[in-house]
Amino acid sequence: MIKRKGGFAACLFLFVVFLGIAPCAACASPSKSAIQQLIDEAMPGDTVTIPSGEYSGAITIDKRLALVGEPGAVIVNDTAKPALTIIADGVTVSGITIEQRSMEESSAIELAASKATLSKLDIYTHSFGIRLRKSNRNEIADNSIQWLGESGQQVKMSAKRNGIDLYDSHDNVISGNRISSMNDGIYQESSHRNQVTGNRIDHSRYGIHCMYTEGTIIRGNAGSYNVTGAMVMGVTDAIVEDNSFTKQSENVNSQGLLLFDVHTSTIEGNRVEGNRVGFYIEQSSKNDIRNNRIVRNFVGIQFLESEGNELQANDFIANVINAEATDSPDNRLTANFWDNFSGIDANGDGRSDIAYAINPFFQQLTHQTPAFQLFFQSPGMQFLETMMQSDRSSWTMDTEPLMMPAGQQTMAAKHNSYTFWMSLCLLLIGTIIIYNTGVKRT
Amino acid sequence: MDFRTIAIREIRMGFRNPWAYSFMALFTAFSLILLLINSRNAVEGYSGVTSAMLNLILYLVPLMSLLLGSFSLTAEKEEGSWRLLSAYPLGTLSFIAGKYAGLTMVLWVIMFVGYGVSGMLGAVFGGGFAITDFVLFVAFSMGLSFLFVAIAMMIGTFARNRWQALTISVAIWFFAVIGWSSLLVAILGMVPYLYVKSALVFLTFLNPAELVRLFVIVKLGGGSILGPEYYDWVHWISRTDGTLWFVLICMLWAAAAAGIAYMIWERGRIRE
Repeated sequence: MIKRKGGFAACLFLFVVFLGIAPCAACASPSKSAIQQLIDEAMPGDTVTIPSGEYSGAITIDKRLALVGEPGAVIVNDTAKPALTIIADGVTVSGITIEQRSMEESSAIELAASKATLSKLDIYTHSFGIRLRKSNRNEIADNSIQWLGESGQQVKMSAKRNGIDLYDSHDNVISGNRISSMNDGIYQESSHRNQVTGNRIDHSRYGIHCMYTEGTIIRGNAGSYNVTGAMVMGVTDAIVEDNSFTKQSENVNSQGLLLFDVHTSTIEGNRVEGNRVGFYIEQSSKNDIRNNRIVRNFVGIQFLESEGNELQANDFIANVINAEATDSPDNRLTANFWDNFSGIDANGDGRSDIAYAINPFFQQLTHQTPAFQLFFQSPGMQFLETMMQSDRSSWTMDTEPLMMPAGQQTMAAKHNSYTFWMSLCLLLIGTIIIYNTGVKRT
Repeated sequence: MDFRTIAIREIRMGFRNPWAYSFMALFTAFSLILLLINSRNAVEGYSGVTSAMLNLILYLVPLMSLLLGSFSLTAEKEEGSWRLLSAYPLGTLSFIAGKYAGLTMVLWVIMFVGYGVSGMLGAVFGGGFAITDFVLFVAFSMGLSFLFVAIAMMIGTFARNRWQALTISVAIWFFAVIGWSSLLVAILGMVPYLYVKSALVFLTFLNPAELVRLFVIVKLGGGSILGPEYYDWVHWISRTDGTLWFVLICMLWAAAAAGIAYMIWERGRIRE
């Protein structure tokens, strides 16, 4: 009896030892589906460590595991299937580099289960990065996703796929990821209550793209050099705050933030700088837009067929045109700062007593004949606009614009030493010529 | 006496002319004012500051060029110095080309001083231009005056005296700079929709102010604001050979305008 018990203990001991040394066996000879073998042998709840080395792909995780890569662990997948498919709940994957090389419509990581944690992954893909399907309450943090491209090779934006792609997936947290050169950075469709925070997205089509979502939170993200920083469409009750969208100006459809068919959402504390259009707001209503900084865009804010929005305490500085608005009645603009407007503040409350009105003439003109966009801010067009003052009462206007910017003026004055020396040279040349020809008697 | 003598004589006369200094003061003052207003923002790329600066240049430089240029030619007629000069073995082409070169130089020096002062103060007190944009603006103003002096040569040829030159100059300035978009919006409203864009592009090539303005916007990186209609144009101009083509078009423009002035001047000389 005692002997049998001891035998059982020995068996258990051996099994535990085997589990412990199994990863080392893999490190000795990295073979095909080595990781898959480890996964198949592991028990639910185990942590599987992948040593440094290159492994081939199409791996499926079908039980609750933690898959942790040591530095240098790379999964290369040439098959048309996703490099990593997760079909069990509660899986954790971190610290692995994944290369999805196949051009087939697929993804580096396919997540079809819930409560997963994907972190610190480096993903290079020829297709989607991380795809979520009916997958809820996951955490996707601190990953890097990039289009897998040979250097110098130009790939059409439309041939690329999305970095993180959600469909019918709810309550996920997507934070601290860095996404570059994809189609859409983070795409969400029919997915509700997801939090997108602190991600950085560049050189993609849309940085963050929301289609028919509810209660989405987009906070503290940074987008630059995308076609559009964030495209929010068909959305209610979203919160878009403290993001920065900069330098989205190269495409003829570029915007910092695009709201289309967005209602009862909050847009607060964002910085849009150097974009073609800072905020583009179409067919959207009852949104609360406040405390944003709209700086150095070609057009600061553009309203089209939008009504009942509240625009308050935003700073419009150094935009070529601060605002355009057509067919947008009943928006309430109060206490914004418009740098091209000099108000009069008789009672000293910091707000102007005369209103700032947005002339819709140019936008109407170019809406009818887009070719006239060529006259954008030409001296002649400004002249024409000042003459078109009829029907002024129907214009969108800020009833009490601020006299000073609401936010802090953070931009430090730049000292351009090259410009200084160049100017000095010009001045010297000019003076010498004037002296020799105009002043000196010959 | 040849081209060089005429050009140097022109520069001399230019800087003994109080008009040159008043324009210089005006140009310096306004560019300084603009920099001061926007001193909180760095001047870089296509923004409110550069757009305002661009429009200031579009107002001032053509007016300066047209007035100084056309007056210089009519003065030759009114004061009789042309009669004196034509007694010498001086070719009309040398005369016109010399005047053109001299006048362009006078305007460039005026702008060098204006940009020099405002650029230096801007760099010292902050909020100055980024070097690439500064160079672009200087080059743009030089090109603009080069084109408008060519037009001024034509005006100076046609006009009998300073008053006529003044009237024509102001009229041309108004239509090229201020009335241009109103005029085109009105005229092209009658053109079938399909032809509006091509007509607009064609007419833009006729107006140096508009041509140069669009070139600068594209070079400042603001081309996307012109919309999908002009995607190809913008793409083309922003390339390096776009710049070369632009320079070539400007040269052709100037050559044509100055050429017309030369032919008419020559015909008048033969008739005398």
